[in-house]
Amino acid sequence: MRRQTGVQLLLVGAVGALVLAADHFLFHWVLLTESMLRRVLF
Amino acid sequence: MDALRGTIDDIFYGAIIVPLGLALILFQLVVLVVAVRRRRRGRPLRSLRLHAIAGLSILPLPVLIGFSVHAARATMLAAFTASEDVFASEKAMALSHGMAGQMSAFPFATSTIVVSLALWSIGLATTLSASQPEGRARSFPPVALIPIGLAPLALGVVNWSARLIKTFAAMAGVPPQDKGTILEGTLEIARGELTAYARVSMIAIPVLTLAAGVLTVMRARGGAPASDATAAAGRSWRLPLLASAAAVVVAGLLVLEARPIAAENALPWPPNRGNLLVYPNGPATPDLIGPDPMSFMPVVEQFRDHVMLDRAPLQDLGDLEERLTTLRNNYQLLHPGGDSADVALILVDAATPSARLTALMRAVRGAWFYRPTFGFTKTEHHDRPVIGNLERVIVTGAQIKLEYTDDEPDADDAGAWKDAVELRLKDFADYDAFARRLVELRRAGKPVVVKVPRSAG
Repeated sequence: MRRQTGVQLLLVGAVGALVLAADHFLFHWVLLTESMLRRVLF
Repeated sequence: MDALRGTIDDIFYGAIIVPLGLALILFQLVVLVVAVRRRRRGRPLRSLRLHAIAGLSILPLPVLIGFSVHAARATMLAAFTASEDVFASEKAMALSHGMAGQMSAFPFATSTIVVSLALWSIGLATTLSASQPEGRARSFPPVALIPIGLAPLALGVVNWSARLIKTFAAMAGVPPQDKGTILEGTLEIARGELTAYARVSMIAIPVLTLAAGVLTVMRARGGAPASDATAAAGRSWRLPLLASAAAVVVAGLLVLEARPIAAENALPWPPNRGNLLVYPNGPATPDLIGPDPMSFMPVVEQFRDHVMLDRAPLQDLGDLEERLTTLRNNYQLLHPGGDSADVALILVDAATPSARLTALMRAVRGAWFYRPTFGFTKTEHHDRPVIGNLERVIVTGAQIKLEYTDDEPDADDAGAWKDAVELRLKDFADYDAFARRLVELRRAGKPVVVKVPRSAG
């Protein structure tokens, strides 16, 4: 039972890390369009 | 319907993505209706297979959107690096299509994915919360809480796109020289807002992760019935362990992939000093920065051995005077009663002797362009992490009043130009020496008059 909970907690932590990384990536990926626009203005 | 057709046209691969997105929402709705009706009849779905299929069916949409945005950006990058042989209108079309592709893809993708996920979650919750034959209800695995932390970012992306689309729409009546400033202002505000939304997500995700951890422990301690996922995990600890490893690997890949993009976004863009000259490889003008503003005007280029007007090669200075006169006449026909066209941008090779400069200015004055601006070009090079190597020619100017030596004094001579300093071209060995004195005077705020003889004799 304890091992099961430990594994579940590990999964929670890993998914947390994945979602945080996705947040970081998506923010910059969307914002890259701003650079494309600034390149047009350049 | 027109808006939908517009979205299909704007988004790259829109003919696949838009119908798929709409079909996805419809499919989630059908699954939700099935789950609700089965539960009402007291025969809830035993297996979660239908919900699993519905959940997995959402996955292709973000992948396709990724390809679509990538294609839109590749189109723009190709237009940026296109050779001079490609027509400017073709480049402008490619840039406009690429930008519209991104600006339409983001809100469509975000709203479609969020709506699909919401419908899917409600359907799944309906089935899970129904009592099983043994009398116990199943529940969501706590780990499902964590992705909710992305909701603020999703909202931010929709808000960011909407702000930019509104600015583009309002740009129609704005004078061309003001468009850049307005767009830059909007970009600053929009970035600030998107950053704020992303920050909320960045805080929400660890908080939700912590909450999911606490819930997991509480359920284990309380001996609460395991969720389906937990039950499956109970049978084998290998699956969650493998899922954890996969999640960590994907997280690492995402961080690595984001590094150059984040560096690109963090690197400030150089300010727009002066106007952008559309023609590269112009004459080697003196190394100066002029203080005077410029607007759109005809561009006269005096090279060592030839002269050009708006990049068209000319036979001689007589040809220049004739074509400038035609431009002026055309302008006045198109703007009856408006301001007269008396401004032209003059780019001259620094080593041009003063005799040639005098002949050039005589042709300019002959066509009644008596408020010319001498332009000074500088080529800037920038290396950016994603966009790559950039080069641009910036032009700044110094304006003069150009007269024939025998011109009658006009109203300006008693007004704004009363204290004007007169420069005689023959006093300078070449254009470089003249330009240095001109910029010095203009920087000191002095108006400058240049007089040229009406005839070459």
